[in-house]
Amino acid sequence: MEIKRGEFVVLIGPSGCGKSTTLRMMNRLVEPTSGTIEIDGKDYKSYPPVELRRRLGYVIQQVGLIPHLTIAENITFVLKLKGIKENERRARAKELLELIEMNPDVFMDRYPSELSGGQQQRIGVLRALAHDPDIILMDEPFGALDPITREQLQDELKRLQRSVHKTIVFVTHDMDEAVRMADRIVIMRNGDIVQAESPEQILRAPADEFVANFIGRQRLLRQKTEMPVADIMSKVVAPVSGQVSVNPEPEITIRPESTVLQSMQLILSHNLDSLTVTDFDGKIVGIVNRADLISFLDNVRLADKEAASTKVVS
Amino acid sequence: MQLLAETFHFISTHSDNVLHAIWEHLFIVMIPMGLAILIAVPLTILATRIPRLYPWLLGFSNAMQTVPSLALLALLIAIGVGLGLLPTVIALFLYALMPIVRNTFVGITGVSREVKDAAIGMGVTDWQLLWMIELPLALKVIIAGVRSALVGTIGFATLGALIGAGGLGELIMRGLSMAANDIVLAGTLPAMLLAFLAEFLMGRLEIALTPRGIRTIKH
Repeated sequence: MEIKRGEFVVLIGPSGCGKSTTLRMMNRLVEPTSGTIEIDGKDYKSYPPVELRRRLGYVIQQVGLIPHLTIAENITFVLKLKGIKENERRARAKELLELIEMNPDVFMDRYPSELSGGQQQRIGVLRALAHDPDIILMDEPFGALDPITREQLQDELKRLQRSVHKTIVFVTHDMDEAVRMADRIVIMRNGDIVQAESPEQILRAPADEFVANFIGRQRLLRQKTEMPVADIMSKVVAPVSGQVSVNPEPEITIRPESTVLQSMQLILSHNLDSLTVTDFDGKIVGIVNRADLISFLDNVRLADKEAASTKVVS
Repeated sequence: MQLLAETFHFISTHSDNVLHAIWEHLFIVMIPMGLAILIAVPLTILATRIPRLYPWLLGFSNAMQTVPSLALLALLIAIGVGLGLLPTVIALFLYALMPIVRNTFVGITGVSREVKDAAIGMGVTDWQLLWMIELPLALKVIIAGVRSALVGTIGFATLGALIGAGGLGELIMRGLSMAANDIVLAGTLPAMLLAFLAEFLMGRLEIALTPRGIRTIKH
């Protein structure tokens, strides 16, 4: 398996499938019994463990902030190991806190015990960014947080990843999280990779029954109704000008990334025959028909019923 | 009340003697305590790295504490260490090991797994793990061990006078043989005060050496 630069890869599977072990092999906390790992085309054993780990970022579920160091010292711990001067370290800590909108003046000199769980894990993530590693390893980083905080941190991380372009290998057992975050999901079982594809591909075409069961039938259904409108609309190739609009109420439009369900709701609430899909600067990119939409959703429902009945028979 | 007055009278008239005994006492306490810290702490840290070492180390120091103090002195004389300061220092050293060994081990191994895991994952060397993470976090517990060893040693050191090591025990012995309670108290009171003072100062040291971030842990 190969992970590309800047890719967000999520390892997922039932507990004991080896996802955390795989991650911990990448920074040599666990040595593989066979096989090898290469980083930038070089066998990772050619990097001494300590040096290798300082080149990577590492975030764990239990956070593991160092309790007797301040937040600033925690964030820049690896920089300290690398011998960077204190004023440079403080400047870096400040910059990173600002990046996630935590006020440096308030938090720099606090101690981990004075922070909430969500704040602590934000610091845990910053700590993995401080020395600007190319690769960040995250072992169920948000697993111990409440659902609301978890979602916030997921969004923040995704945003952060877009701005800093890191390669992230992320372990979770939460499929929702995997779908939200991943460019590619790697499903593991008993130490083997069962399927490694984009979330959409996995949700639409699970490799086998194990994967299908793991991601859950209900999710397949939800995924279909939450598909972006762009996937089912009739595309308009040439930009359509206003006067040939088929929509009697041209101000009611929908964005291509909105879900199928949302477009259906909009059509029903405004009693439209069709809905114009426009991109962010108002250009018309496609049209969804009421009739098409209804038959699509009927098919989904039918498929679900069939799946349910075959399950009962078998 | 009269006894107390007599005692203070004795102390004021024999202040040289009493001060000398206090200095001697401190000397008898400090040498074995210093040795115990210098030897027990590193050895125990080694035992946290080589786990099969620990039962031996704890077993030995436990056994030394279990032997009655007077018997330990007698034993050292019997095996030919002689009389005076040397057997007293050895006995006190052996006696002080246990709290230091136990607390050092508990302190170091008590540092939470996830903090160590995160630190190792960030690339600390074994030495850095010890100096930057484990020792600062364990210091409070180690100091508490030294404190109980020290207080015990101050008391035990009075027995050194039995084999001619000097110190405050000598005043007590002299008073007892002369049936002069004021002299007994002139040895006992300073010994008690020293123990209280040691307890107090070590407690302050414990607080001062506890890193700020773990002094008050909110939940």
